[in-house]
Amino acid sequence: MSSRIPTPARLQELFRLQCFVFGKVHNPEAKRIGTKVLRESLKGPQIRNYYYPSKQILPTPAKLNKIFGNWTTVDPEEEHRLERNEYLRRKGKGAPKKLKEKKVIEKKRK
Amino acid sequence: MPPRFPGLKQVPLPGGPKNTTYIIRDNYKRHMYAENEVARKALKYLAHNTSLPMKTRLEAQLQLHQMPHYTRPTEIKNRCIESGYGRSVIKEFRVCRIKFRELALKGELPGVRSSSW
Amino acid sequence: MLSRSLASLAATTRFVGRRYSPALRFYSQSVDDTPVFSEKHLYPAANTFVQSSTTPVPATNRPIPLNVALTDVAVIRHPVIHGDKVAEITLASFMSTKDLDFYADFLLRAAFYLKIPAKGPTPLPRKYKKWTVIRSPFVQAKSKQNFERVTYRRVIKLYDANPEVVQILLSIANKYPLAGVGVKAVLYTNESAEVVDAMDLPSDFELENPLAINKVHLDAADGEVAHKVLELLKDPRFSEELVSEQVQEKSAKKPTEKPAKKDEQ
Repeated sequence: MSSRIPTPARLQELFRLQCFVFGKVHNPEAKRIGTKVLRESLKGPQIRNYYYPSKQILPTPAKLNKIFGNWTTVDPEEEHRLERNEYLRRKGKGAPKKLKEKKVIEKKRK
Repeated sequence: MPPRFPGLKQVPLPGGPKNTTYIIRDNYKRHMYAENEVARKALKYLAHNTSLPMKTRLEAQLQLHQMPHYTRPTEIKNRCIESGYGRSVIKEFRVCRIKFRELALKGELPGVRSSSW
Repeated sequence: MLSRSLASLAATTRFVGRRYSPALRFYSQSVDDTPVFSEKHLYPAANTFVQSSTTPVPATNRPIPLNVALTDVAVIRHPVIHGDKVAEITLASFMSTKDLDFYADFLLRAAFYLKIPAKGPTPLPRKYKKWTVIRSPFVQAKSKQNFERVTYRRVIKLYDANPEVVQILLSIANKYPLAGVGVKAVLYTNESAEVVDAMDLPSDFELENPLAINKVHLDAADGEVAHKVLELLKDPRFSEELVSEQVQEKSAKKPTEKPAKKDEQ
Protein backbone atom coordinates (compact mmCIF):
# COMPACT_ATOMS: atom_id res chain seq x y z
CA MET A 1 0.00 0.00 0.00
CA SER A 2 1.62 3.27 -1.13
CA SER A 3 1.49 6.22 1.32
CA ARG A 4 -0.94 8.92 0.16
CA ILE A 5 0.12 12.48 0.89
CA PRO A 6 -2.91 14.77 0.85
CA THR A 7 -2.97 17.61 -1.67
CA PRO A 8 -2.61 21.22 -0.49
CA ALA A 9 -6.22 21.87 -1.46
CA ARG A 10 -7.40 19.06 0.75
CA LEU A 11 -5.31 20.28 3.68
CA GLN A 12 -6.77 23.78 3.25
CA GLU A 13 -10.26 22.32 3.32
CA LEU A 14 -9.39 20.40 6.49
CA PHE A 15 -8.10 23.56 8.14
CA ARG A 16 -11.29 25.41 7.21
CA LEU A 17 -13.44 22.64 8.72
CA GLN A 18 -11.35 22.56 11.88
CA CYS A 19 -11.88 26.31 12.35
CA PHE A 20 -15.62 25.82 11.89
CA VAL A 21 -15.80 22.89 14.31
CA PHE A 22 -13.75 24.53 17.06
CA GLY A 23 -15.25 28.00 16.64
CA LYS A 24 -12.09 29.76 15.50
CA VAL A 25 -11.62 32.49 12.94
CA HIS A 26 -10.54 31.12 9.55
CA ASN A 27 -7.57 33.16 8.33
CA PRO A 28 -5.47 30.99 5.98
CA GLU A 29 -3.36 33.85 4.64
CA ALA A 30 -2.45 34.97 8.20
CA LYS A 31 -3.62 38.55 7.73
CA ARG A 32 -3.62 40.91 10.68
CA ILE A 33 -7.32 41.11 11.38
CA GLY A 34 -7.20 41.84 15.11
CA THR A 35 -8.41 38.45 16.34
CA LYS A 36 -5.82 38.41 19.10
CA VAL A 37 -7.49 41.42 20.72
CA LEU A 38 -10.74 39.45 20.93
CA ARG A 39 -8.98 36.33 22.13
CA GLU A 40 -7.62 38.09 25.24
CA SER A 41 -9.73 37.40 28.31
CA LEU A 42 -11.21 40.35 30.20
CA LYS A 43 -9.18 41.10 33.31
CA GLY A 44 -11.03 44.19 34.59
CA PRO A 45 -12.39 42.71 37.84
CA GLN A 46 -9.05 41.16 38.73
CA ILE A 47 -7.25 44.47 38.25
CA ARG A 48 -9.93 46.45 40.04
CA ASN A 49 -9.72 44.27 43.17
CA TYR A 50 -5.97 44.73 43.68
CA TYR A 51 -6.13 46.70 46.92
CA TYR A 52 -7.90 45.72 50.12
CA PRO A 53 -11.71 45.76 49.84
CA SER A 54 -13.18 48.98 51.21
CA LYS A 55 -14.03 49.10 54.88
CA GLN A 56 -17.57 48.82 56.10
CA ILE A 57 -19.10 52.20 56.88
CA LEU A 58 -20.49 51.70 60.37
CA PRO A 59 -22.03 54.31 62.66
CA THR A 60 -19.74 55.63 65.37
CA PRO A 61 -20.58 54.80 68.98
CA ALA A 62 -21.54 58.45 69.57
CA LYS A 63 -24.09 58.25 66.76
CA LEU A 64 -25.45 54.95 68.04
CA ASN A 65 -25.92 56.49 71.48
CA LYS A 66 -27.79 59.37 69.92
CA ILE A 67 -30.10 57.12 67.86
CA PHE A 68 -30.82 54.79 70.75
CA GLY A 69 -30.94 57.37 73.56
CA ASN A 70 -30.44 54.94 76.43
CA TRP A 71 -27.34 53.24 74.98
CA THR A 72 -23.92 53.90 76.45
CA THR A 73 -21.46 52.39 73.97
CA VAL A 74 -17.88 53.47 74.45
CA ASP A 75 -15.52 54.41 71.61
CA PRO A 76 -12.06 53.39 72.87
CA GLU A 77 -10.22 55.46 70.26
CA GLU A 78 -12.17 58.58 71.13
CA GLU A 79 -11.60 57.98 74.86
CA HIS A 80 -7.89 57.59 74.24
CA ARG A 81 -7.81 60.81 72.22
CA LEU A 82 -9.56 62.77 74.99
CA GLU A 83 -7.28 61.30 77.67
CA ARG A 84 -4.21 62.19 75.65
CA ASN A 85 -5.35 65.79 75.16
CA GLU A 86 -6.00 66.12 78.91
CA TYR A 87 -2.56 64.73 79.68
CA LEU A 88 -0.88 67.25 77.33
CA ARG A 89 -2.89 70.13 78.77
CA ARG A 90 -1.81 69.15 82.31
CA LYS A 91 1.79 69.22 81.18
CA GLY A 92 1.26 72.56 79.47
CA LYS A 93 1.77 71.10 76.00
CA GLY A 94 -1.80 71.26 74.77
CA ALA A 95 -2.99 72.80 71.51
CA PRO A 96 -2.46 76.60 71.29
CA LYS A 97 -5.42 78.97 71.45
CA LYS A 98 -6.98 79.99 68.17
CA LEU A 99 -5.99 83.50 66.90
CA LYS A 100 -8.82 86.04 66.96
CA GLU A 101 -9.64 87.99 63.79
CA LYS A 102 -9.17 91.38 65.55
CA LYS A 103 -5.40 90.98 65.66
CA VAL A 104 -5.20 90.49 61.91
CA ILE A 105 -7.22 93.72 61.29
CA GLU A 106 -4.96 95.67 63.69
CA LYS A 107 -1.87 94.55 61.80
CA LYS A 108 -3.37 95.70 58.50
CA ARG A 109 -4.12 99.17 59.95
CA LYS A 110 -0.52 99.46 61.05
CA MET B 1 -8.00 68.25 49.29
CA PRO B 2 -9.83 67.98 45.95
CA PRO B 3 -9.10 64.92 43.81
CA ARG B 4 -6.77 65.09 40.84
CA PHE B 5 -9.48 63.89 38.45
CA PRO B 6 -12.07 66.53 39.31
CA GLY B 7 -15.77 66.40 38.60
CA LEU B 8 -15.80 62.64 38.13
CA LYS B 9 -17.16 59.50 39.67
CA GLN B 10 -16.83 58.54 43.31
CA VAL B 11 -14.90 55.32 43.67
CA PRO B 12 -14.75 53.36 46.94
CA LEU B 13 -11.46 53.80 48.80
CA PRO B 14 -9.38 50.74 49.65
CA GLY B 15 -9.74 49.45 53.22
CA GLY B 16 -6.03 48.91 53.91
CA PRO B 17 -4.00 50.35 56.79
CA LYS B 18 -2.74 53.27 54.72
CA ASN B 19 -4.35 55.25 51.90
CA THR B 20 -1.73 57.48 50.30
CA THR B 21 -2.53 59.87 47.46
CA TYR B 22 -0.83 57.53 45.05
CA ILE B 23 -2.91 54.60 46.19
CA ILE B 24 -6.11 56.58 45.79
CA ARG B 25 -5.14 57.69 42.29
CA ASP B 26 -4.05 54.24 41.20
CA ASN B 27 -7.22 52.73 42.68
CA TYR B 28 -9.32 55.23 40.69
CA LYS B 29 -7.50 54.27 37.49
CA ARG B 30 -8.14 50.60 38.15
CA HIS B 31 -11.87 51.17 38.59
CA MET B 32 -12.05 53.32 35.47
CA TYR B 33 -10.13 50.76 33.45
CA ALA B 34 -12.48 48.01 34.56
CA GLU B 35 -15.47 50.11 33.46
CA ASN B 36 -14.05 50.98 30.03
CA GLU B 37 -12.21 47.77 29.26
CA VAL B 38 -14.78 46.44 26.80
CA ALA B 39 -15.04 49.73 24.90
CA ARG B 40 -11.26 50.04 24.68
CA LYS B 41 -10.91 46.49 23.40
CA ALA B 42 -13.58 47.01 20.76
CA LEU B 43 -11.87 50.19 19.50
CA LYS B 44 -8.50 48.47 19.56
CA TYR B 45 -9.92 45.63 17.48
CA LEU B 46 -11.26 48.03 14.85
CA ALA B 47 -7.97 49.91 14.77
CA HIS B 48 -5.90 46.73 14.33
CA ASN B 49 -8.07 45.03 11.69
CA THR B 50 -6.10 45.63 8.47
CA SER B 51 -8.94 44.40 6.27
CA LEU B 52 -11.12 47.36 7.31
CA PRO B 53 -11.00 50.63 5.31
CA MET B 54 -8.49 53.23 6.41
CA LYS B 55 -11.07 55.71 7.63
CA THR B 56 -12.72 53.24 9.99
CA ARG B 57 -9.38 52.26 11.49
CA LEU B 58 -8.33 55.88 11.85
CA GLU B 59 -11.59 56.84 13.50
CA ALA B 60 -11.20 53.98 15.99
CA GLN B 61 -7.61 54.97 16.77
CA LEU B 62 -8.62 58.61 17.30
CA GLN B 63 -11.43 57.67 19.66
CA LEU B 64 -9.05 55.43 21.57
CA HIS B 65 -6.61 58.32 21.95
CA GLN B 66 -9.35 60.66 23.06
CA MET B 67 -10.38 58.36 25.91
CA PRO B 68 -9.30 59.84 29.26
CA HIS B 69 -5.82 58.92 30.47
CA TYR B 70 -7.09 57.28 33.64
CA THR B 71 -8.75 54.52 31.58
CA ARG B 72 -5.45 53.33 30.10
CA PRO B 73 -4.13 49.98 31.39
CA THR B 74 -0.53 51.16 30.95
CA GLU B 75 -0.99 53.85 33.59
CA ILE B 76 -1.90 51.31 36.24
CA LYS B 77 0.93 50.46 38.62
CA ASN B 78 1.17 47.66 41.15
CA ARG B 79 1.70 49.41 44.46
CA CYS B 80 2.32 48.01 47.91
CA ILE B 81 -1.09 47.56 49.53
CA GLU B 82 0.37 48.15 53.01
CA SER B 83 2.64 51.16 52.52
CA GLY B 84 1.83 52.51 49.05
CA TYR B 85 5.43 52.16 47.90
CA GLY B 86 5.66 51.89 44.11
CA ARG B 87 9.00 50.14 43.72
CA SER B 88 10.15 46.57 44.30
CA VAL B 89 6.65 45.21 44.81
CA ILE B 90 6.47 41.42 44.99
CA LYS B 91 3.45 40.34 42.91
CA GLU B 92 2.65 37.24 44.93
CA PHE B 93 2.01 39.22 48.11
CA ARG B 94 1.39 42.71 46.62
CA VAL B 95 3.80 44.15 49.16
CA CYS B 96 7.02 46.13 48.76
CA ARG B 97 10.37 44.61 49.78
CA ILE B 98 10.47 46.52 53.06
CA LYS B 99 7.03 45.38 54.22
CA PHE B 100 7.66 41.89 52.86
CA ARG B 101 10.69 41.50 55.10
CA GLU B 102 8.80 42.90 58.11
CA LEU B 103 5.81 40.57 57.64
CA ALA B 104 7.94 37.53 56.80
CA LEU B 105 10.04 37.91 59.95
CA LYS B 106 6.86 38.34 62.03
CA GLY B 107 5.52 35.10 60.52
CA GLU B 108 2.49 36.68 58.90
CA LEU B 109 3.26 35.31 55.43
CA PRO B 110 2.27 31.62 55.36
CA GLY B 111 5.14 29.27 54.65
CA VAL B 112 7.74 32.00 54.10
CA ARG B 113 10.92 31.52 56.07
CA SER B 114 14.37 33.00 55.87
CA SER B 115 16.59 30.67 53.95
CA SER B 116 20.30 30.12 53.79
CA TRP B 117 22.27 27.58 51.87
CA MET C 1 -7.72 -3.17 69.55
CA LEU C 2 -9.28 -5.51 66.97
CA SER C 3 -8.94 -9.19 67.76
CA ARG C 4 -9.36 -12.48 65.93
CA SER C 5 -12.94 -12.82 67.21
CA LEU C 6 -14.10 -10.53 64.42
CA ALA C 7 -12.45 -12.81 61.91
CA SER C 8 -14.64 -15.63 63.14
CA LEU C 9 -17.72 -13.57 62.18
CA ALA C 10 -16.54 -13.27 58.60
CA ALA C 11 -18.10 -15.71 56.15
CA THR C 12 -15.63 -14.93 53.36
CA THR C 13 -12.32 -13.19 53.91
CA ARG C 14 -12.04 -10.21 51.66
CA PHE C 15 -10.18 -7.31 53.27
CA VAL C 16 -7.05 -7.63 55.30
CA GLY C 17 -6.13 -4.65 57.41
CA ARG C 18 -2.42 -4.25 57.92
CA ARG C 19 -1.36 -3.05 61.33
CA TYR C 20 1.03 -0.40 60.08
CA SER C 21 -0.65 2.97 59.75
CA PRO C 22 1.52 5.96 58.76
CA ALA C 23 -1.03 8.41 60.14
CA LEU C 24 -0.97 6.98 63.66
CA ARG C 25 2.59 5.96 64.09
CA PHE C 26 2.53 6.47 67.84
CA TYR C 27 0.30 3.42 68.25
CA SER C 28 2.89 0.72 68.78
CA GLN C 29 1.45 -2.77 68.96
CA SER C 30 3.80 -5.59 69.80
CA VAL C 31 1.23 -8.36 69.18
CA ASP C 32 0.63 -9.31 65.55
CA ASP C 33 -3.09 -9.08 65.38
CA THR C 34 -3.87 -8.46 61.68
CA PRO C 35 -7.67 -8.22 61.44
CA VAL C 36 -9.62 -9.83 58.64
CA PHE C 37 -13.21 -8.88 57.86
CA SER C 38 -15.80 -9.25 55.13
CA GLU C 39 -17.76 -6.79 53.09
CA LYS C 40 -20.85 -7.48 55.18
CA HIS C 41 -19.21 -5.81 58.17
CA LEU C 42 -17.73 -2.88 56.32
CA TYR C 43 -20.91 -2.08 54.39
CA PRO C 44 -23.68 -2.95 56.76
CA ALA C 45 -27.39 -2.59 55.95
CA ALA C 46 -29.08 0.70 56.73
CA ASN C 47 -29.88 1.46 60.38
CA THR C 48 -27.62 -1.32 61.66
CA PHE C 49 -24.58 -0.88 63.84
CA VAL C 50 -21.60 -3.14 63.36
CA GLN C 51 -19.82 -3.72 66.56
CA SER C 52 -16.08 -4.11 66.73
CA SER C 53 -14.74 -6.69 69.07
CA THR C 54 -13.54 -4.16 71.60
CA THR C 55 -14.93 -3.86 75.06
CA PRO C 56 -17.08 -0.83 75.90
CA VAL C 57 -15.23 2.42 76.44
CA PRO C 58 -15.64 3.42 80.11
CA ALA C 59 -16.48 7.03 79.27
CA THR C 60 -19.43 6.33 76.99
CA ASN C 61 -20.16 2.71 77.99
CA ARG C 62 -20.40 1.81 74.32
CA PRO C 63 -18.04 -0.12 72.05
CA ILE C 64 -16.06 1.70 69.42
CA PRO C 65 -17.62 1.46 65.94
CA LEU C 66 -15.74 -0.53 63.34
CA ASN C 67 -14.80 2.38 61.10
CA VAL C 68 -13.24 4.21 64.04
CA ALA C 69 -11.33 1.14 65.12
CA LEU C 70 -10.06 0.76 61.58
CA THR C 71 -8.20 4.06 61.85
CA ASP C 72 -5.67 2.11 63.86
CA VAL C 73 -4.90 0.08 60.80
CA ALA C 74 -3.41 1.02 57.43
CA VAL C 75 -5.76 2.24 54.69
CA ILE C 76 -7.65 -0.54 52.95
CA ARG C 77 -7.97 -0.06 49.20
CA HIS C 78 -10.33 -1.38 46.56
CA PRO C 79 -8.54 -2.99 43.61
CA VAL C 80 -8.47 -1.09 40.32
CA ILE C 81 -10.45 -3.16 37.82
CA HIS C 82 -10.78 -1.13 34.60
CA GLY C 83 -7.96 1.36 35.03
CA ASP C 84 -10.19 4.26 33.91
CA LYS C 85 -8.81 7.35 35.64
CA VAL C 86 -11.62 9.52 36.92
CA ALA C 87 -9.90 12.15 39.06
CA GLU C 88 -6.61 13.42 40.36
CA ILE C 89 -6.69 15.12 43.74
CA THR C 90 -3.58 17.18 44.50
CA LEU C 91 -2.93 18.16 48.11
CA ALA C 92 -0.48 21.00 48.70
CA SER C 93 0.93 22.52 51.86
CA PHE C 94 3.63 24.98 52.86
CA MET C 95 4.06 23.39 56.28
CA SER C 96 5.63 20.05 57.06
CA THR C 97 4.36 16.88 55.48
CA LYS C 98 2.72 15.55 58.67
CA ASP C 99 -0.63 17.24 58.06
CA LEU C 100 -0.46 16.48 54.35
CA ASP C 101 0.01 12.77 54.91
CA PHE C 102 -2.70 12.72 57.54
CA TYR C 103 -5.22 14.40 55.24
CA ALA C 104 -4.29 12.13 52.34
CA ASP C 105 -4.91 9.18 54.65
CA PHE C 106 -8.30 10.63 55.58
CA LEU C 107 -9.32 11.03 51.92
CA LEU C 108 -8.19 7.51 51.08
CA ARG C 109 -10.30 6.11 53.90
CA ALA C 110 -13.28 8.12 52.66
CA ALA C 111 -12.66 6.73 49.17
CA PHE C 112 -12.64 3.22 50.60
CA TYR C 113 -16.04 3.66 52.23
CA LEU C 114 -17.37 5.07 48.95
CA LYS C 115 -15.96 2.03 47.10
CA ILE C 116 -13.70 4.14 44.89
CA PRO C 117 -10.43 2.42 43.89
CA ALA C 118 -7.77 4.96 44.80
CA LYS C 119 -4.03 5.08 44.34
CA GLY C 120 -1.72 7.21 46.35
CA PRO C 121 -0.60 9.34 48.03
CA THR C 122 2.31 9.77 45.64
CA PRO C 123 4.59 12.68 46.47
CA LEU C 124 5.29 15.19 43.70
CA PRO C 125 8.58 17.13 43.59
CA ARG C 126 8.83 19.96 46.11
CA LYS C 127 8.38 23.46 44.69
CA TYR C 128 10.73 26.16 45.91
CA LYS C 129 9.94 29.84 45.61
CA LYS C 130 12.72 32.24 46.63
CA TRP C 131 12.94 35.98 47.15
CA THR C 132 16.03 38.09 47.80
CA VAL C 133 15.34 41.43 49.42
CA ILE C 134 17.44 44.41 50.49
CA ARG C 135 17.40 44.57 54.26
CA SER C 136 17.47 48.34 54.66
CA PRO C 137 14.62 50.67 53.65
CA PHE C 138 17.16 53.08 52.16
CA VAL C 139 20.25 52.25 50.03
CA GLN C 140 22.75 49.67 51.41
CA ALA C 141 22.14 47.25 48.57
CA LYS C 142 25.14 45.16 49.57
CA SER C 143 23.33 43.50 52.47
CA LYS C 144 20.36 41.37 51.47
CA GLN C 145 18.28 38.61 52.97
CA ASN C 146 16.97 35.48 51.30
CA PHE C 147 13.51 34.06 51.92
CA GLU C 148 12.00 30.87 50.59
CA ARG C 149 8.72 29.04 50.56
CA VAL C 150 8.52 25.28 49.96
CA THR C 151 5.37 23.63 48.65
CA TYR C 152 4.95 19.95 49.48
CA ARG C 153 2.51 18.02 47.31
CA ARG C 154 0.72 14.69 47.28
CA VAL C 155 -1.46 13.17 44.56
CA ILE C 156 -4.38 10.79 44.99
CA LYS C 157 -5.66 9.18 41.80
CA LEU C 158 -9.21 7.85 41.62
CA TYR C 159 -10.28 5.16 39.16
CA ASP C 160 -13.36 3.45 37.85
CA ALA C 161 -15.91 5.43 39.86
CA ASN C 162 -19.17 7.10 38.92
CA PRO C 163 -18.68 10.90 38.65
CA GLU C 164 -21.45 11.46 41.20
CA VAL C 165 -19.60 9.34 43.75
CA VAL C 166 -16.44 11.32 43.07
CA GLN C 167 -18.44 14.48 43.75
CA ILE C 168 -19.45 13.04 47.12
CA LEU C 169 -15.79 12.51 47.99
CA LEU C 170 -14.97 16.07 46.98
CA SER C 171 -17.84 17.37 49.05
CA ILE C 172 -16.40 15.47 52.04
CA ALA C 173 -13.08 17.24 51.41
CA ASN C 174 -14.98 20.53 51.24
CA LYS C 175 -16.87 19.86 54.44
CA TYR C 176 -13.84 18.73 56.47
CA PRO C 177 -10.87 20.86 55.43
CA LEU C 178 -7.59 20.81 57.30
CA ALA C 179 -5.87 24.11 58.03
CA GLY C 180 -2.77 24.49 55.92
CA VAL C 181 -3.67 21.87 53.31
CA GLY C 182 -4.95 22.99 49.92
CA VAL C 183 -6.99 20.63 47.78
CA LYS C 184 -7.24 20.75 43.98
CA ALA C 185 -9.10 18.23 41.87
CA VAL C 186 -8.90 17.52 38.15
CA LEU C 187 -11.79 15.43 36.86
CA TYR C 188 -11.64 13.32 33.72
CA THR C 189 -14.64 12.24 31.67
CA ASN C 190 -15.10 10.28 28.50
CA GLU C 191 -17.88 11.08 26.04
CA SER C 192 -19.24 9.02 23.19
CA ALA C 193 -19.14 10.26 19.62
CA GLU C 194 -22.89 10.90 19.74
CA VAL C 195 -22.29 13.86 22.04
CA VAL C 196 -21.82 16.03 18.95
CA ASP C 197 -25.46 15.54 17.96
CA ALA C 198 -26.65 17.09 21.20
CA MET C 199 -24.34 20.12 20.93
CA ASP C 200 -25.42 23.40 19.32
CA LEU C 201 -23.81 24.19 16.00
CA PRO C 202 -21.58 27.31 15.87
CA SER C 203 -23.93 30.21 15.40
CA ASP C 204 -23.88 32.31 12.25
CA PHE C 205 -22.78 35.34 14.24
CA GLU C 206 -21.27 37.01 11.23
CA LEU C 207 -24.60 37.14 9.46
CA GLU C 208 -25.99 39.26 12.31
CA ASN C 209 -23.55 41.93 11.20
CA PRO C 210 -24.86 42.95 7.79
CA LEU C 211 -22.44 45.87 7.35
CA ALA C 212 -19.10 44.12 7.24
CA ILE C 213 -19.37 40.43 6.60
CA ASN C 214 -15.98 39.81 5.09
CA LYS C 215 -14.03 42.36 7.13
CA VAL C 216 -15.09 41.81 10.72
CA HIS C 217 -14.66 38.27 11.99
CA LEU C 218 -16.58 37.77 15.18
CA ASP C 219 -17.69 34.67 16.96
CA ALA C 220 -20.41 34.17 19.53
CA ALA C 221 -17.67 33.10 21.94
CA ASP C 222 -16.09 36.57 21.82
CA GLY C 223 -18.99 37.82 23.90
CA GLU C 224 -19.02 41.35 25.26
CA VAL C 225 -16.30 42.79 23.05
CA ALA C 226 -17.92 41.43 19.87
CA HIS C 227 -21.25 43.02 20.81
CA LYS C 228 -19.51 46.31 21.49
CA VAL C 229 -17.80 46.15 18.08
CA LEU C 230 -21.15 45.68 16.34
CA GLU C 231 -22.59 48.57 18.36
CA LEU C 232 -19.73 50.82 17.27
CA LEU C 233 -20.15 49.82 13.63
CA LYS C 234 -23.70 51.20 13.71
CA ASP C 235 -22.12 54.65 14.14
CA PRO C 236 -21.85 56.29 10.68
CA ARG C 237 -18.35 57.58 11.45
CA PHE C 238 -17.13 54.00 11.42
CA SER C 239 -19.45 52.46 8.89
CA GLU C 240 -19.50 55.20 6.20
CA GLU C 241 -16.58 53.94 4.21
CA LEU C 242 -17.44 50.33 4.88
CA VAL C 243 -20.89 50.80 3.41
CA SER C 244 -19.56 52.73 0.41
CA GLU C 245 -16.99 49.99 -0.18
CA GLN C 246 -19.68 47.33 -0.16
CA VAL C 247 -21.82 49.40 -2.53
CA GLN C 248 -18.82 49.65 -4.89
CA GLU C 249 -18.31 45.89 -4.70
CA LYS C 250 -21.93 45.26 -5.54
CA SER C 251 -21.90 47.71 -8.42
CA ALA C 252 -18.75 46.03 -9.74
CA LYS C 253 -20.68 42.75 -9.92
CA LYS C 254 -23.71 44.19 -11.72
CA PRO C 255 -22.26 44.90 -15.27
CA THR C 256 -21.84 41.14 -15.84
CA GLU C 257 -25.65 40.68 -15.67
CA LYS C 258 -26.67 43.52 -18.02
CA PRO C 259 -25.11 42.42 -21.36
CA ALA C 260 -26.95 39.07 -21.07
CA LYS C 261 -30.31 40.83 -20.78
CA LYS C 262 -29.50 43.14 -23.73
CA ASP C 263 -28.73 40.13 -25.88
CA GLU C 264 -32.08 38.62 -24.95
CA GLN C 265 -33.85 41.85 -25.90
